[in-house]
Amino acid sequence: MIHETRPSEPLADALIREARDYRASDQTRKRTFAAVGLVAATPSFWRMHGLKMFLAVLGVGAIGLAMRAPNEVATRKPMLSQHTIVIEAPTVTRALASDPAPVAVETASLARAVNVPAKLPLRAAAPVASSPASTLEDEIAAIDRVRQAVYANDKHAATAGLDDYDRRFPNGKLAPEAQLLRGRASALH
Amino acid sequence: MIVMMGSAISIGAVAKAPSLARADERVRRLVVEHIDSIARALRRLGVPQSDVDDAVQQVFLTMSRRLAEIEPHAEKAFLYKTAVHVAAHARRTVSRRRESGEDEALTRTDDSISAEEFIDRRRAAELLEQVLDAMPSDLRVAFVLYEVEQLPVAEIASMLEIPVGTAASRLRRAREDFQERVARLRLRMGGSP
Repeated sequence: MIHETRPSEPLADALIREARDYRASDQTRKRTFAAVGLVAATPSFWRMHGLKMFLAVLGVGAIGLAMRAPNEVATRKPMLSQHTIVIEAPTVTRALASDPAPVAVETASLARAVNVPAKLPLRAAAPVASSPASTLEDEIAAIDRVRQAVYANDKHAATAGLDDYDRRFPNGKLAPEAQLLRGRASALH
Repeated sequence: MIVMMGSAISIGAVAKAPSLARADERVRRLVVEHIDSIARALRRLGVPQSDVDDAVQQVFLTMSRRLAEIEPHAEKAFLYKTAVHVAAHARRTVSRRRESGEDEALTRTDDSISAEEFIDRRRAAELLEQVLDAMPSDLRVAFVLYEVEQLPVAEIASMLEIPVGTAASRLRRAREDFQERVARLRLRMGGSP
């Protein structure tokens, strides 16, 4: 009878072989890596930039230690480095408090959500932050907040953080990472 | 105080980066290790070729969002289980459309195979889809996971949240169903039974 089971049916074997012979396309691979916020076929972003991050953080710490000297404190205001931004953050916060711009509000709330001192979109401070270490550290912090938001599945905060990043760092070194994160954020529900 | 704030930023940046890096590495490893098998499972479970891209992304996005909940020993099972759900959803929501000319075996630009082999494989891909599409959904899942993905019955049972005996029984029926459909197909093609 035609309905009998044929374990060694050649056609069945051929079809099973065909079924097993399937690989994800390069496009699928690239898009999947992008969707999960990774760059395909390259080492992890954080591994690649780990040394830069470490050096940037060391730089911030060193500047902080240097500022302990009283004479340095006296000349603090003219210094245009990363800690200047921190010092002036409350002032800017107050200035933005009356600004109804939703992005500024979101950025501040995002910073609170991830328990990182608020580094607001300092329109005035960003252009004068001449230290490369400062800029990179700021970029890292901004991207880090976005990544936290993405990991927390918070699309709104991630998008706001990316908008903030784009505004503050139009030619940022971490723009590719921001672009990947934007793709990933857009996929959040 | 001001310095303390600067230090807090520095410490925060250092402390968070490694955990994120570890998560990224884990996600990367899982994508690299399993993307081919997940894409294959999705395709064989009935996701149209044109939708495999999206379905694969959906599986791995789900995985990355729930990464913290997934035990290291259960990663593969989680991915397959998610793929089964995604494929079931795709089968329900995507209209069944014939995809002549769209299958992976039909569009590949692999110069290592001859034209005859290309045509054979194209035909095989069409027949395979025809047979799998005709199988009852539960049998198809069991068949694909066992025969195509070559997963152990116990693992399949765990993934499908059914007893091992039920999984074994379902698998036996799935194999019979597949063989019968192939035999009927061969008859229609004019071959000997």
